[in-house]
Amino acid sequence: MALIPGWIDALFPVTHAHNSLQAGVSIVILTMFIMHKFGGYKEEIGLDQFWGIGKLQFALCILWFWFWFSSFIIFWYGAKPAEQSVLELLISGPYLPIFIATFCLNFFIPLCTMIWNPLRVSILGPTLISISVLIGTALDRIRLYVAAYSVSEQAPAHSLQNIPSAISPSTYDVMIWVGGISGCILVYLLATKVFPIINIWEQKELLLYKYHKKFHRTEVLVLGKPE
Amino acid sequence: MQEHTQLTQKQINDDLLRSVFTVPRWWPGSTLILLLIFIAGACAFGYMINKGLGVTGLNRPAYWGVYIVNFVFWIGISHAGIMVSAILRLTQAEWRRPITRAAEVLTVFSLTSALMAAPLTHVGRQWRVLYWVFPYDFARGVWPNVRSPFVWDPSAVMTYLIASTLFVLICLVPDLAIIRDRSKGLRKKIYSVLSLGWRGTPRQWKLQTVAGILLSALVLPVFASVHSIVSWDFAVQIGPEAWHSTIFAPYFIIGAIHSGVSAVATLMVVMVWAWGYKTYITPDHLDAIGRLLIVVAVTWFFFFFLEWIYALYTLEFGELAMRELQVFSWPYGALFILFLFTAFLIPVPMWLFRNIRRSYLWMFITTILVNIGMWLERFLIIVPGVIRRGELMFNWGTYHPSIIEILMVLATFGWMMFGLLVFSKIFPLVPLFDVKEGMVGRDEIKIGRRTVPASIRE
Repeated sequence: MALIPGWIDALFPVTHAHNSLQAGVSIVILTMFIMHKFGGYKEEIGLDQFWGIGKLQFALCILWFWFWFSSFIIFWYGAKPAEQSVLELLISGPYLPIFIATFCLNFFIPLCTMIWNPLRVSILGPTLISISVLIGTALDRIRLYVAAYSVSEQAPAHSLQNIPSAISPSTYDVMIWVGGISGCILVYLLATKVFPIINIWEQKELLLYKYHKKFHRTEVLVLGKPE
Repeated sequence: MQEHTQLTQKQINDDLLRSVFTVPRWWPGSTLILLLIFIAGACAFGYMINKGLGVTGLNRPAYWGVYIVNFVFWIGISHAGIMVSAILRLTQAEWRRPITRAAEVLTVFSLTSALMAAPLTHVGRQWRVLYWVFPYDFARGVWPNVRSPFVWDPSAVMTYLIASTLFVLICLVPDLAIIRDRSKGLRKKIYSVLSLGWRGTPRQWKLQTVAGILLSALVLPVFASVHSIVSWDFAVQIGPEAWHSTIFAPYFIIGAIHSGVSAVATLMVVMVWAWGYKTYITPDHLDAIGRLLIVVAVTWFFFFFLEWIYALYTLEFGELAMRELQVFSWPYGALFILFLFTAFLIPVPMWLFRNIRRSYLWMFITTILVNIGMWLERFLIIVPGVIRRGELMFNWGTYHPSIIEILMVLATFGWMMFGLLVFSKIFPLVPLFDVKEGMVGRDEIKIGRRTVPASIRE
């Protein structure tokens, strides 16, 4: 709700919630992959889990486009000078390469790849797409925060006069960023040393609720659903 | 705990085909009344074509009235089928089984009502709609604006109608074969053609299942695009304040789901009362859809809140004046209060109680209230939006729908219900194969002293 170009947008909270969810699901997939590959949880975290969460990830990638387009068309078709300047600032201007990268990494690449069954129903496929989405989301945040906040004018936010050029991060910026991510991973790793990373009681509960049975010429999974 | 009644296949056939092979006592009278309402609307439509749009309450600047309100309302209701049928099918919600077809059919007839509400009636000179398909006078460079959502609208709605009809047909084929096998004479011949040579071979079942799942997945983007495009009809305009908002597409879609799922819940109760499907649509089913409605309604209210808070926080004169018109001026203020109470404040707190969710009567009342509220919501977005006195406006005022418009609005309701009743006479309203599949796939797991309901995962 701040008077910053591109931020006064009723869809902003929803877009943010969605982008966070998309990145959140991706980081979960990445964590699942590490636990599967290096953590010794091959039995607990298998193809079924990757397949299930992969579908959610695919849906979120398509939703990314819908939310982006819902904002874009209003500004583009409205074509008020203020709206055109916001589009130039965030999309077609100095941050165009960042926007194209975000568009491809968060939507286009996942769409073209995850639609393919052998890739979606695999362990490596959703993991690679997660990396793509995480990089894309980081770039999108740069586009939305750095570009919008680099406007130095004190004029009302709706009437942007000059489009500022792109800002490159300094070495310190990059180091702080890398340090922040590393710190987060460190705390997570320390937590896994203290607490079990998989809910033991839930695994036991699952064993009670599921079984396989013969059904005609095949074997099916029967799953209990308590109230 | 879910009540499970195990029925035989014969019993299911007998129960669910009764409406096709016999005529319920209430059916002829109800159908005739609905047909008369529709004919009254058709006569009003004929009169309007003869005399022109001047016989409606539309004027300057109220160029959009109840026709467009009705169009948006019916497009909203049409989201019922896909929400209940496609999404619940993909998420393997077991309780969907007896209500999927009713929801899909509701979608098809709502879409035809929507087409009747706007493209047929609102445009004034209907024969000119053809010019959108075959651009006229192109020598002078007069072309439809292909960038406009108005031009996307017909494509989106027609695609949705075709996809929904296909969805209904594919799910009907196994049931049509059962009717064929129980019929004689001409009826047998007709159902033989309609059932497309269905024999129930493993290959046919596989193809039917795959087609159902594929259509469920493919129709979802169409479902999202239809109401998004309808919302952009308003949102891309910069004239009326309160319309030019980025939130309109998701806000309209969640509103559509709110009214659509409510309409399905209403229909579920009607199916129990009118056709006696109490064994198939139990309080458990109402409980499940009631819980879904709470989630949908709260999400809708969140979007409603966002739309308002962003409008008010900017403190722009036009926005504030528009909101003032919506909330504090007669009759819109009264309608606004009625809308808030009927769409959210009465039904949602009531649904929090399990007894209400499991009651046929209360679910009927609350879901009807939701749709009254959601119709008013569209009215309050559209009419105050166009009648507000803006800059350089030499004429402004209010809008009163004429009797012609009221008759045509009623005709769309009459048509939708008439269509449902006629459909129920020709085809089973509850999918036999889906209910049987649910029975076959149902199981129980004994854990300690408790028995937990279970089902085969597809």
